[in-house]
Amino acid sequence: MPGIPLPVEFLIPFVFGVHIALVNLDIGLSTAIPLMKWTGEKKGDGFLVERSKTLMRYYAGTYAIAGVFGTAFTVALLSFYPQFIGLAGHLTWVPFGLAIMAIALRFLSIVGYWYLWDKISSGLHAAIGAAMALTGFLVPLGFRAVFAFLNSPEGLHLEPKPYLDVAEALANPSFAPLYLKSVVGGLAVGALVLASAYAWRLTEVEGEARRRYAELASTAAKYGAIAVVIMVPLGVWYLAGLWWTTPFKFANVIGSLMGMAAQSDYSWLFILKMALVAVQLAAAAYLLRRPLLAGGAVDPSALRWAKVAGPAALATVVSGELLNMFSQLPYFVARPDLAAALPEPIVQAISAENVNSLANLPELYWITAAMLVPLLAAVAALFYFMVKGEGEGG
Amino acid sequence: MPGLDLISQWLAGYPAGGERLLSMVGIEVHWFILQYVLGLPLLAVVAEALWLRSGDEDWKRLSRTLAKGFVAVFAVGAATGTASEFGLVLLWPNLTEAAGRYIYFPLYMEIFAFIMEGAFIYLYYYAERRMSPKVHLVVGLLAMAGAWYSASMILSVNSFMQSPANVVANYDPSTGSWAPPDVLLYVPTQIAQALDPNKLSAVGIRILGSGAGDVTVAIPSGLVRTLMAEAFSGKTVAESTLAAVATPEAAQAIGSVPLKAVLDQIVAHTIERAGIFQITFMSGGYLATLMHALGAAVTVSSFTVAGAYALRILRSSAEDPDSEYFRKALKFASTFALVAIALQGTALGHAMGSAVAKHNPEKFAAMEGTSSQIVSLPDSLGLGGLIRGVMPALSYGSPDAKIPNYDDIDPDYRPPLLVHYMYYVKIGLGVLLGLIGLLLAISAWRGSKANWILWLTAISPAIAHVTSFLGWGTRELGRKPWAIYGIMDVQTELTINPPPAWQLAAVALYLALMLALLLAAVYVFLWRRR
Repeated sequence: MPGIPLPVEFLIPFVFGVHIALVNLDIGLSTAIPLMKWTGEKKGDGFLVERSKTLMRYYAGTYAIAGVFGTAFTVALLSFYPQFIGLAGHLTWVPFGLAIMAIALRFLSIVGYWYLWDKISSGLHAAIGAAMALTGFLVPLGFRAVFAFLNSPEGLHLEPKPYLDVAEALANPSFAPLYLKSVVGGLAVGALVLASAYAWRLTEVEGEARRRYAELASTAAKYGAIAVVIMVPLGVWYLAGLWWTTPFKFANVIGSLMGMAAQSDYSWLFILKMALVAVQLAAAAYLLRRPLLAGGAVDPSALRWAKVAGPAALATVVSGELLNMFSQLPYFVARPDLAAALPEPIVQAISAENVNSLANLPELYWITAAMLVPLLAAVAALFYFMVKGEGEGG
Repeated sequence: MPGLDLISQWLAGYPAGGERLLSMVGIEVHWFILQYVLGLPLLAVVAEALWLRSGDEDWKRLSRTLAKGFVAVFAVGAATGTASEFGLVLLWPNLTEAAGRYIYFPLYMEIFAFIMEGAFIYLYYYAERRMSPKVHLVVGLLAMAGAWYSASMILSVNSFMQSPANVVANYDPSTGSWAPPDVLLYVPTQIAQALDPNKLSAVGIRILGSGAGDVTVAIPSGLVRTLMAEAFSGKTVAESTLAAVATPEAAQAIGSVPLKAVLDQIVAHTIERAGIFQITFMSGGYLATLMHALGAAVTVSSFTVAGAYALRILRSSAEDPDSEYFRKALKFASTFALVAIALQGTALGHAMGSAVAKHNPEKFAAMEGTSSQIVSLPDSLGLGGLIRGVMPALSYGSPDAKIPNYDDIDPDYRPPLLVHYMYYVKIGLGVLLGLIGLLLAISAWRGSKANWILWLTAISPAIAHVTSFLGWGTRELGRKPWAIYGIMDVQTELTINPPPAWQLAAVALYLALMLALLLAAVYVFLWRRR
């Protein structure tokens, strides 16, 4: 992208990509865990309760790493685009304030759910679990309101001073589908990643445990499939919202495929995302038709599809978010047509080409590479140990 | 005089009282958690090292318990950190923008610190059985290093806000004379040529020298404060104070240019000359700040672990098979607590105090309460003579040095006097904590089973937290009226859309409630048995 240094194009999307993949997993797992425990207790199914507890142990790790990369994303934005962050601070007290409150409630419910396991009544624990799941849906509310604002600054008023009318901002046509896509997408990712994880796991055990893991994988795939199907109309709704509010971005996302002129054509990313959606749907359809276990033996084709579904869901989310981010470049607010009506400081602040010259230094990029490579190796090792580590009973 | 409402002076005497209060609550909630992120890994790796050396499985058990603790607090700390970060952006966007533009480097380096912390803390916890004990210990040390590295970065930014490397305090302890601090800047020659030397001199700007491409100047902080306020309010050069010191030709030529753009060139050039990657680490008192904060974290963590095991002992019966382990853990934590509080009270606290005396004389005057407007706490306890006798030597290294007089300081530069009481209550609690630490360690090593000592141990974490909070509060309240000492004041850093008071109060209460519920959850976790 002209005017935007390549490392800025790489670093910010990279940390955001990791963050968003883990956040989606976070939404899915924080819903699945209390549901599994509650169902297990209701049915007297110790296996399900035990799986829920094991998942909670892993979930705490993904939650924290998601938070780490989220903070890394905002710090990277602050370093390279301080004016943009400053402007956002002046305008977004309500949406980000709501997000902060939801985050606070979220960490409390997570800590409570983990540490009070077996220490309080089952009903109270389930209520904390419900709060844990619910806050997963609440946190994106504020963030997605801001993302919709970046599509089109609905609710921005300039007189007597720049401020945001929250009601108008929430009525932004791209807000509702974007928010709903986030929540349903998280549920899809969570379910399909669980389907893959349990498919991996069932090959390592025998007998009844294998049957149970196959059952879990199939159930997760079924719920994942439902969520992916719901995503399709939501995606169309979101595209309609973009077409309505920001033809510039719509053209960059998909318009070039329809003959529209695109300034930053990322339709290839859209095609990739659709291909990944197709993989998920194919995997889910296959698993609904063919069970993982037939007469106690593993069906290798079903197993392959199950193992593919989760990574495909994660890749779909990442490609979708990057598409959403890249398709408004070189602007942070995808309405270049409004530039003439905005004061110069705001136009500067929302330009992605306006990189902090004190940060845009080769030395900084060398430092970044030198620090990031070994640390990412450590993160990879962590996920390897989490997946392959000490077994489910550990 | 007594009767002065110190709380009102703090909240209403400076702008944005509600916003400051909310920031204080948010950051305290974060700091409350963060102390465990910094302190618990040290205790865990030391316990593991003891296990490696002795083969005693109790040490391994203690290490695992502590690791389980810091895994959880790290996750909570990541969440409260995100909340605090957003809070700062939303309430103080101009400060945030300035930090991102000029002193981003340590913040940027925190990205890697976060990843390092996250990766190694969870490797330490999840992958224990997949690695040799020695490698596991090294991973634990890396987890601790990640947390301390993160602290070293963010505290360099805070130190810069307290005492930027290019701001010089003007207090002479040999005479007791005070003047406002000066800001040293490298002004690019192109801009310097647009300024009239006679007019500069008239407003107190001193030209210290010139080099290739710039002129070094010392500007009174009051003028810098005004220029920063004008720049962030969107004024042009013609509308600003800068026009008064510009040559007539320049005033006409660049009159319509935003003042912020001109100041940006000067500050960016100064930062480049001083070193983008190192300027925050050259802040006055940075090392003392880092060591004192880490010391506080280890102190709070040690007392908390001691308190938790004291509760477990109180809860268990004499026949409990774990009672020996509980006592061993109590002895371990008590020893740590004693060493930590002793270091805090002597070497680290002294270094911090000396740094404040040197770099922030106005804050030091408020801390010592050298004002006729209040009754000094040491005086009211009959210790005033003693304090006045030792303080000059302690703070300035000479018994003849003079402590800055609060009343001699221009009112525009005075911090709130509330910090005097915060500081001395902190000192008092610190001494109490030291005595408790000594008692705990002696009784733990002697194997005393007196219940009152165990109860005292159980409440000691609360005292440690209050002490730590008061220390941080002294530092932050004492920064007023500045956001960045000598450069930007509170009004300038504030958002142009301040939230209504009820929203600020609601969020503050909500965060306090979350912390209270978190503490209740921890209490239930510790107290209730399966």
